[in-house]
Amino acid sequence: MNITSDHAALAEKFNKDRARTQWHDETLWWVRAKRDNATTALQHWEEIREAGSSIKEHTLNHLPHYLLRFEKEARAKGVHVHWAFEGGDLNKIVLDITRSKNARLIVKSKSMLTEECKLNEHLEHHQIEVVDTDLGELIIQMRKEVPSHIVLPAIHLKKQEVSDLFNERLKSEPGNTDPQYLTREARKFLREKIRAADIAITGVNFGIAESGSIVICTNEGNADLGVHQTKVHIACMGIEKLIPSMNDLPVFLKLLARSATGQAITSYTSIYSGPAEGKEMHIILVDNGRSTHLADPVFRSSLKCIRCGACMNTCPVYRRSGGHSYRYHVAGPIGSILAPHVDKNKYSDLPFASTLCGSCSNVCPVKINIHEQLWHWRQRLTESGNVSTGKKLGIHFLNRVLSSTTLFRLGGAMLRWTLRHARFLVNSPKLNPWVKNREMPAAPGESFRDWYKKNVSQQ
Amino acid sequence: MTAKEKIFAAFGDNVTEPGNLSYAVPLQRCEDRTASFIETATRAGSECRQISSVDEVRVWVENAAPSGSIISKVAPVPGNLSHDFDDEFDFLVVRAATGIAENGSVWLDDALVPERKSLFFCKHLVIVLNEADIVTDLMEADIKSRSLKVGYGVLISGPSKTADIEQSLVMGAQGPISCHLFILRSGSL
Repeated sequence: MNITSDHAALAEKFNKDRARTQWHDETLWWVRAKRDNATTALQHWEEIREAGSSIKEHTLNHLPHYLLRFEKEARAKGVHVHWAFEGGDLNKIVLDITRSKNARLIVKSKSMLTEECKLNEHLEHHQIEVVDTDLGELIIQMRKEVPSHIVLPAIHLKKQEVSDLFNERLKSEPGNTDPQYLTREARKFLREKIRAADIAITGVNFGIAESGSIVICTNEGNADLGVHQTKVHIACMGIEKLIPSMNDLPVFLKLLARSATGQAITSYTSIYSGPAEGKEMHIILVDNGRSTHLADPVFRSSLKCIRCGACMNTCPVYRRSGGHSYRYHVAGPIGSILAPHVDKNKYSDLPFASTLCGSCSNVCPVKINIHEQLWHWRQRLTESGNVSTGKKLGIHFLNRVLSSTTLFRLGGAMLRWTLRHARFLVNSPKLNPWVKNREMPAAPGESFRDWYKKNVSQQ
Repeated sequence: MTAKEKIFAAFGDNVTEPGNLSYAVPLQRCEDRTASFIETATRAGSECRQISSVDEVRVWVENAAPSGSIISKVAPVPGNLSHDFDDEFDFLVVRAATGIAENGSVWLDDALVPERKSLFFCKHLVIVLNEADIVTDLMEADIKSRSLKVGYGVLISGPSKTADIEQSLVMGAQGPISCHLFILRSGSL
């Protein structure tokens, strides 16, 4: 791993702009606060979380069965169902459909799965124009970036930057930074694209096994607009998105928007069961590593994730380091569990980008033990030699010290002496990165053990 | 091997019939369903009015835009636009099957809407809802039987919106700019 581009290095870069870092931190915390209001306004939140977790666990335990059921029911409704083992399979299927329709322009609503498989790049490479229709996604597509947040893709940007971008790309008024004005400009542009498009691609929030239906949640209505306006709908769906029955859907609708943005429900929750008359509908079921992930008992429950982003909004590290520091299209705590499954070497730093405070696990609507899984990853990555030598030696050294009373007491005494007489040794950020933004505390007069002996044990 | 075979091979070809899935979620309760619905719908950006006669909707639409283009599925409100429109139009007037107090959304589907895209090409969405059709909890809204009867069904709460630019809320991101809910009092015509 290149040390100049790991999470810590990129986070340090992000923090150079102090005002922006503070804005990022406060804005996401505000979203977290909205989530708290929404979840406490609802009765029985914990029971609903428990139900969401059980339904997902049950479905994952019987995933082959539910996938076959879903395929059968969707086919019976006239849907073309495709399977993709790897990301490349998804890209190929989409390109084949596009070519068979002689399509030139595709509109795509938000889909983290297509980010994962790099579908846009593939289509553009073959001279197919793809326009992301979610406003945040459009902004980052125009900037040739990846989303920094799965729900708020452009949360790392300020309105001035959007204004400059739209001025350059959409000929909007220079210097007009009014979000309503900028949104209207994007609306005009997108409406034209959607009206001219041949194919609409969407993601899927939930797949219903018993009926072969898919559920798509948006606030902008861009997914529906695209699907209803074009003749061909291609829905890209990770195999973990299934739930057994339509009766299970309300549980997740109660959880999703409240956890994501603090809304009681998104503006649109659309249920598609088969193609509209005279139209074509494709559903591509994508594995791309999920089946192997599922076979790993320590990490399988992270596949319960419904992509609400609550763990990011609450994470003190994410809020102060920005999504791009994670270098993966799903950032934050959940992304730090998912990314090493894709590339253990490249993303070995991510499970360490956490204080393990556990706030992520507390807000997770489907009760994934996120911080524990991060801790498990640290152990596994250290064992398999995927961490830097410095970190490895440090961990071994600490292990020795903390497992021996003698060494621990000696170490304590040495540290207290150093703090008193050779402070420069621990005060240099080069030797001790801990002091980069902090000061070492004053040395206590004695160890806790000595203090306890004197004051408590004699009573 | 096909992609499907590869996936199932990775599962270990382990296709077992699932046992029973059981969970219990207590229903939401509120003292006044209508008041609670109006509160959540308003928070989602809908403008709510309680009416005693559907004719009040006709009067409201006429006053709101005397020369506006209208597609209507509600009897006393006259439409003036054919259903094969190709561009934005002013008002879509429809009836919703049910409203949900818990989240302020209403259910619409193929049976209630002239053409699916009209829901998104109208500038102002006008929805008539019988007060008696308001339920408290989403689980009481019968989504399963409603959705399985149609190819497309949707829960709508408020206008199309976004906060993608610096978290500033903007109504009318891509679809309707406003959403008007007319709640027909129980016992009225």
